[in-house]
Amino acid sequence: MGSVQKSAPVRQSKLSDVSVAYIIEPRFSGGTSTAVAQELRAVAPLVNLRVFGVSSKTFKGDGVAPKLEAALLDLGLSLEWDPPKISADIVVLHNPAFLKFQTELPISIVADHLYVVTHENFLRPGGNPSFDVTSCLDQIDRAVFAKAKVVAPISTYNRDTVAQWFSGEGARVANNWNVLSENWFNICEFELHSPTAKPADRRGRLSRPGFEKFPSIESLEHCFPATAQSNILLGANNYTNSANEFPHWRIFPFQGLEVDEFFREIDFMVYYTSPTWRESFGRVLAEAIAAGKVVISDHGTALNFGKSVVALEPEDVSSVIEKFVNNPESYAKHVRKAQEYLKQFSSSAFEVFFCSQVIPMRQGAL
Amino acid sequence: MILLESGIQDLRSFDAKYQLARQLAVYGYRAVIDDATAPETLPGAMKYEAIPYLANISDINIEHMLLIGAEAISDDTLAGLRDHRFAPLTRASAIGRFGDTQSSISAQAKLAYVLGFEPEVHDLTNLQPNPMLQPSLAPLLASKAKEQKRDQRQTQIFLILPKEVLEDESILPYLTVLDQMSGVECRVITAGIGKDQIKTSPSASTRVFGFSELFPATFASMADIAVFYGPNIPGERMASLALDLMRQGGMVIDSTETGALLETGAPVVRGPTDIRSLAMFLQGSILVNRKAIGAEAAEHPWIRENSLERLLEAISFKKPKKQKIRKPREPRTIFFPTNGVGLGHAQRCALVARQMKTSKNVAFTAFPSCVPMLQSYGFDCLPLVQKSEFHSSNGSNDLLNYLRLGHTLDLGDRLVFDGGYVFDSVYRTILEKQLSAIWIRRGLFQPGQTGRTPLERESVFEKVIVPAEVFEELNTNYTYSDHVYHVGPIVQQNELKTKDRNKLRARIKTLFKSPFKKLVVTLLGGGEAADRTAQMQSLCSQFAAHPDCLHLIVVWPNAKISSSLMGWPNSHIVRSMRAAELSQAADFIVSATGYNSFNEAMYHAVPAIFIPQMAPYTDDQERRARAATERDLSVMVLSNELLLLQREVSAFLEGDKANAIRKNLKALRLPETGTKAAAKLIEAGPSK
Repeated sequence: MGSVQKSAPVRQSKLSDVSVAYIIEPRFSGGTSTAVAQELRAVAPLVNLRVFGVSSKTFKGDGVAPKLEAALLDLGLSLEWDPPKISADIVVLHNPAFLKFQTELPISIVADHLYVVTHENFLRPGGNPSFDVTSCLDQIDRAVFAKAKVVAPISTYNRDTVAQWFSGEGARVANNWNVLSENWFNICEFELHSPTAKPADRRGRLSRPGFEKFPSIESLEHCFPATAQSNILLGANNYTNSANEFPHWRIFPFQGLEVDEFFREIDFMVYYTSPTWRESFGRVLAEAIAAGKVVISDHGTALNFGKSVVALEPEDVSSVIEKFVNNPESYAKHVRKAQEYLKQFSSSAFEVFFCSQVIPMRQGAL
Repeated sequence: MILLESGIQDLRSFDAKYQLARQLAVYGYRAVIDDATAPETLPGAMKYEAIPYLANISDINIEHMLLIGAEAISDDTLAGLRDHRFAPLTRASAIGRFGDTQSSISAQAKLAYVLGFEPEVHDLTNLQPNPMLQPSLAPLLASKAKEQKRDQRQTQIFLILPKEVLEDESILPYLTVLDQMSGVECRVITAGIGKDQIKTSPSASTRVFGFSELFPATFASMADIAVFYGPNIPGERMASLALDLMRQGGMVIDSTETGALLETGAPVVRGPTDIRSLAMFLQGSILVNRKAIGAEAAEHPWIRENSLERLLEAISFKKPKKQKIRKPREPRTIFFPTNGVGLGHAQRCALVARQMKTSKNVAFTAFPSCVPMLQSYGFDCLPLVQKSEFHSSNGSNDLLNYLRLGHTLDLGDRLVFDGGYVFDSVYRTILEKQLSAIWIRRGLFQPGQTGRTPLERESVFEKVIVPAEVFEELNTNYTYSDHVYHVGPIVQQNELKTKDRNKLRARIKTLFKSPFKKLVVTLLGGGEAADRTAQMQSLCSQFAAHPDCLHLIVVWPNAKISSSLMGWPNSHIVRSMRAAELSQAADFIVSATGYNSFNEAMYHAVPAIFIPQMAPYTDDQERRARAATERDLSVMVLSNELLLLQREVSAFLEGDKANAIRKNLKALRLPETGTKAAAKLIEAGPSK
């Protein structure tokens, strides 16, 4: 396994000659599609871009994720489904996990450089695979003819899992792949809201309803205690039966409350997942920071956001919130610093990343 | 303790869980099923099968959770597991038949999310590459026998006949042919519809079971040979029967159209697909070699590969604590009398038990109303659970009684049941524990009571002892078989001598401060079968006008009595178990016509006005009362004849009617009682 190092930025005038092909499973819902949609908007003006859709066995139907569809429409790009062959200077395959329920990627891909952007962690906490990584990478390896095949992690935590996998189960194929040295981060373009001047102990969490997104009930009790002024659990579809046991929780199913309204009702975003699963990036945390909230999470998830996210054990959440509530200035200061940190995930930052990290890989062609 | 869970929550999964729980129990592992996962409505047989393993797991220390069917895990299951909040040191395992690595990874991940720790995942595709049935939810693994197999005198052949096979009705007579083969008893397992079909055919005498009537393991313990017919293996339960039977040295013959069992690689013998050829096939080479073939099958590599031991090795449960080896106790005879209206069944059993020479190994299990009486006779008695309006459903008490019988009885024990209807608890316990069982079955069923189920269950009893009625026309043969034994009336014979009778009357006079000339005893029960308050009120009112008369309403100690019977002049309520003695002290009695009270009146020559009690579960008391009345041995008054009752009481009190009847009774030649004969039959063991 090699490491792809930073190169000098290329000259803008010649970028439009570079052919870039995006390969996506466009039916992916949630953060992945949102991230890819924003990425397309950032990349399309720079290069000669085509977008290809693969109908994998992971999804049924033909519904393209709305944000992706909107981006394609806005950019005047057409989505080409299941082509037998793709040829481009640079091929970017987003989220190899979409291949997990099949044994073959039935496309012949010829590229100068192939980037496989790993939206899902390769390993779960504890070291068990998140999906059949071996099968997915093998399928890509067999389908692609390229000078270099590069795995591109999307965050610090995600990178750790990729590295661990290559040093363990993936050691057999490590020589076939390089790992990009910088993170292929999610673009987070959210409107920034000022922090409240009078924070109260109003807590909430927002996620899709999957079991992996929730910690143990004991941890939830620590995070959302009866002593809090209010606790909103949005997306807690699998906890609706717990309403009697936890009358101090206001439980809403996923999309049962407008996100803006949710953020108006809270001052602290307290976000913990199952200890056996981690967010690979954590867009929802970035969204909460942008909304002007103090965000609290576990150490692994917080790692992707530097000190912008307060990393704590669930038992310590209440005492830290109490300190913020008693010191509104520190609350506002923390939020402003965190929002400053978000700038590194902006579209313009991505353009710089793309031009400095991705394009130069095939400088000889320019 | 092991908790068994399943990927999805439906009837089939639930069935698979308790089948596995039972198998694990055979190997000494204690497994439970969360009662919250039980489907809301369960077929009757499933309730009995599941109940030993159901538990409120919040009260239990779960050491290991095993989830079956992990290839498909529903959100309900995941939410349930999350809510269990397992203790930190709990182990979790999951088994499933995964199509690929990703399915296995997905299953492990899903479970890990809700458990908060990693489960072990075992792929049955590797562990058990050639299963008996595919796809199946249960692991379908052969297990050793729970009980040592009882030696059967005849080879037990079980035919597994799906309903498609029975569509050709011309095969039905061949069931009788098979059943009549020398040294063979033929049984059929089929669907409910097939059961009805056989029972209304010329082969009605063939014993037929439904597919779900008993545990597959129970069938396996009963069978020596199982022959499978039809297009395929009819479901997981029958596949399980085949597995257990082979593992236990029995023989499986594959007569399916497709050779479905043989195809799996199982050590089965291919048999003729036409049932008409089976008798010849069996006689040719199978019956003489069945033990050798069975022994070879039990050691076959396929059986080892498909045995529960394989799973136990893979999962490596914590070794079960070595159970203290109980000192083998002497086989016991346990009497189980039901408690119809009064305590007649218990009284009858007690009479028989006292006549047994081995009475020290005799004990009782009975409903609470009978317990004091049986204990007063010196018998150990395990209380059973009485029906109650507080139970959630009809028959809930029988489920609990099933558990109690299961704990009380062991292989080698003998169960003596006395009752008109063989409860499911009794029926299942006899078969599951391979008990030697005897049914004391009084006759005189009401029309409609001799439906198929009550008498069909006779076949699980080695002997049926039928105590006779006093009058010949009341003795009806409901079944004909060499295991049905008729004995004389079983009746308490403690006739008071004149001297003792006078002493008792004198004591009653003192006790009730009544210088009565006439003593009348009423025995109309506590209203269990029918409310007789109106009749008793009428009697109280009539006796109020007779100061020379003492009227005792005798009921069992725990009977419920209407307050409207209190406070009448000359009438008293007496709670006593000595009704027979009090009756003999009386000048006449007013009584229901249960077997015991009627026969005691006949044998003790007590004049009686009989008011038959008729309820769906009583015997035909009216026929009994009418038989005596037609012979001038009593008077019969029906429950709606209150004025006639008053006239008859007057005739007994003021006229000579009671004396005339007593004279007739004394002149009556009664049959020899059957109490000793019944005791001997029980002690003699199985029919020859």
